[in-house]
Amino acid sequence: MRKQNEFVFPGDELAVIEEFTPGENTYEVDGQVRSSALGKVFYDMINRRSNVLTLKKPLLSTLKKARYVYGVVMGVREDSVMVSISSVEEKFISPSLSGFLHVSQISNKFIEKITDYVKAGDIIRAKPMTYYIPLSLTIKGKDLGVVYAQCSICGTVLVKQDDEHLRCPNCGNIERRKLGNYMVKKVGNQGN
Amino acid sequence: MTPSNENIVPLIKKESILHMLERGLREDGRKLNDYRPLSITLDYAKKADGSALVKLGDTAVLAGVKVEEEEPFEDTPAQGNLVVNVELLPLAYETFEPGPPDENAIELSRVVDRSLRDSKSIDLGKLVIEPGKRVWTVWVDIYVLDYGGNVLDASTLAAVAALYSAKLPKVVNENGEIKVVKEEKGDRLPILFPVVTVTAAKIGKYIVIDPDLEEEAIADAKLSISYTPEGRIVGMQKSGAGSFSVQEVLYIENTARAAGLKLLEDFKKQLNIQ
Amino acid sequence: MIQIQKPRLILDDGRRLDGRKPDELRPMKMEIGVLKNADGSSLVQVGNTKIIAAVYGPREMHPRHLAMPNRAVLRVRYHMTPFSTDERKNPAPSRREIELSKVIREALESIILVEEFPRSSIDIFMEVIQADAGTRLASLMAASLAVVDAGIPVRDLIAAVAVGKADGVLVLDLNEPEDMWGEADMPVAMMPALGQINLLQLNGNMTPEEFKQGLELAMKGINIIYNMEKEVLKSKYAEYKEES
Repeated sequence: MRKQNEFVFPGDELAVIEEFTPGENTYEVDGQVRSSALGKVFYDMINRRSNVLTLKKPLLSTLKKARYVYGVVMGVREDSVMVSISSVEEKFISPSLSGFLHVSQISNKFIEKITDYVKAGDIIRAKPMTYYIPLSLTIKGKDLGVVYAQCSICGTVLVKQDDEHLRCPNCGNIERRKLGNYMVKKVGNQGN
Repeated sequence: MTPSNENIVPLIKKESILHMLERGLREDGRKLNDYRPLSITLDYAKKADGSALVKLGDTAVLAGVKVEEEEPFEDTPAQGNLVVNVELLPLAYETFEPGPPDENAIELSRVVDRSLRDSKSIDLGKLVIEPGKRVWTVWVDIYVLDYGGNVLDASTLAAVAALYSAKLPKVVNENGEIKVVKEEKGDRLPILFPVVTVTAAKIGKYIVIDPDLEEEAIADAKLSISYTPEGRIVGMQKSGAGSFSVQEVLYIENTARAAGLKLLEDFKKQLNIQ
Repeated sequence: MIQIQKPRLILDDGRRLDGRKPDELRPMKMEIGVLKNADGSSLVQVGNTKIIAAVYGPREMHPRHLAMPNRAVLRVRYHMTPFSTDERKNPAPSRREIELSKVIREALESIILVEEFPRSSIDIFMEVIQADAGTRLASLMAASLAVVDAGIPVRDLIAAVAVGKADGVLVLDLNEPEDMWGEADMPVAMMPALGQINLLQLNGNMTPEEFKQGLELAMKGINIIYNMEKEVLKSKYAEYKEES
């Protein structure tokens, strides 16, 4: 065992598996727990886990801490929605990540038609629930859901009518969605 | 790019293969250090200047030698040239496709080439027709016909056997003018001694010599070592995503050398050479 | 220019053409985080050999059907710039570069914890800026440092050095004349903390005894390089800490 907070390199031995199980940024080989990163050792005495705290993480590993992601709805299927995630919180990512939204993660209400909640082309704010590609998403939360949408008849950007409906300022079409923090509140310079 | 696991059957069988290895056995009845039976058919392709069909267990490799007259390279005016190429033919395995050689074929070619070249088993200095003007380029084309594991060792064997069977076109000296008579065979290729490559595969904590296709599919890593009849190392290549401890490397060198010298004896007997 | 005559590689005082003793390494310089856009990058100089490496990922694999469900796919390219050699090198990948890309990728496979990123790809690029013997190992080390810089979890670092035979003497860390005229060249790469060899090649001609001694000599060099790598990583970490 090393000193708490000691600086370690990948490959450095931290503990034997009987003392501490492998935690963050560690791995086990032949009964030994070793570091897989550059950083400082943190032995979690309560859970008996050894961790290495790092300063730099790959994007996929930072998703666990992400409060929300933004993505474009690429297609709607019978029981799920394909999403192309293009930002983690406000950070733009490229290439985009694939995600999907299962029908059970759209709303607490009974859903007859998914397209009453999200449509292809919508931009949604969602929270990732798994951190592997494709990410499984949810928009059940209060501030989660569609944040930007276009009229399915004329393509004009829709404005918020009430908590569940959007209105087209151009053709007057009303569409239903599961809304998050919907961005377009006024007409702006669109339409009228 | 990381190759994907095309054949998952060996992965499912891995446990049972490991179980057998623990008892010192392999699926085909061999011991861990045993080579599969080797058969060599010389002059299999009659239009080639030399050729050999090598069968090593289920693996079949055909090597053909063609000799061409060329100008020497500027930096080696008194030397002939050797060119080795390995093709993994689409007819040899389910996943092989036509097209330019992939990284596996290129690696095979280059390892066989280095073993032949670095061992100096071919006397390139004797492949000269007229110094500085005309030399022989020896093309060794190795065609894998049946992919049954350990094609590297089979490729080296096929290449060396084909070189032993090869004859240069006849060269005559007519009043000081050196002429090549293509229609007639002349001297044998200046090959001084045979070279073998012996591959060992690491499966779990076990090391096996001459892995078959299933063993290769589940191997962590392989180490191939080429030897001369004197037991000198004339080439080495580690392949596969795994790693070896120093002890494992030294163990493989010992075991592979013993297997290699035995293989060389067998090879010489079959080719009737000293 | 190509030299036709083989020079003497070991001089009367037992030193090599560049003044080194047989078991002495070339001067080495490593820098981490040299590129802005890449997720991780590094610059490694060994003598006159100079390599720049960059890592992108793990990111979603495109085309998607090539992704693997249980791990990340590594795409590795070792490439020599046309101006890295005495004679201009054709920039199209040569057979040598294709082989080395494979050998380097397989060595990197053994350190990267690919199982942590299923269905993704990790793309690793190495460009040889100056080639003066030992480019594959310098590239491999550069790549491993770039991977660590990207924060990608790894089992170990990679330290690597070639051992060769010049005029019958075992020498550490070949220079260009030794590479060209020597009797053997054996590149060795190791995961130093785990004591595992993840790259091993040999071209040339050695007795089994020389091979054994060569491997020991390589491990001696690797140990020195490993400590240098740790120093560099430690000071880079301190830099990051100041930034954050």
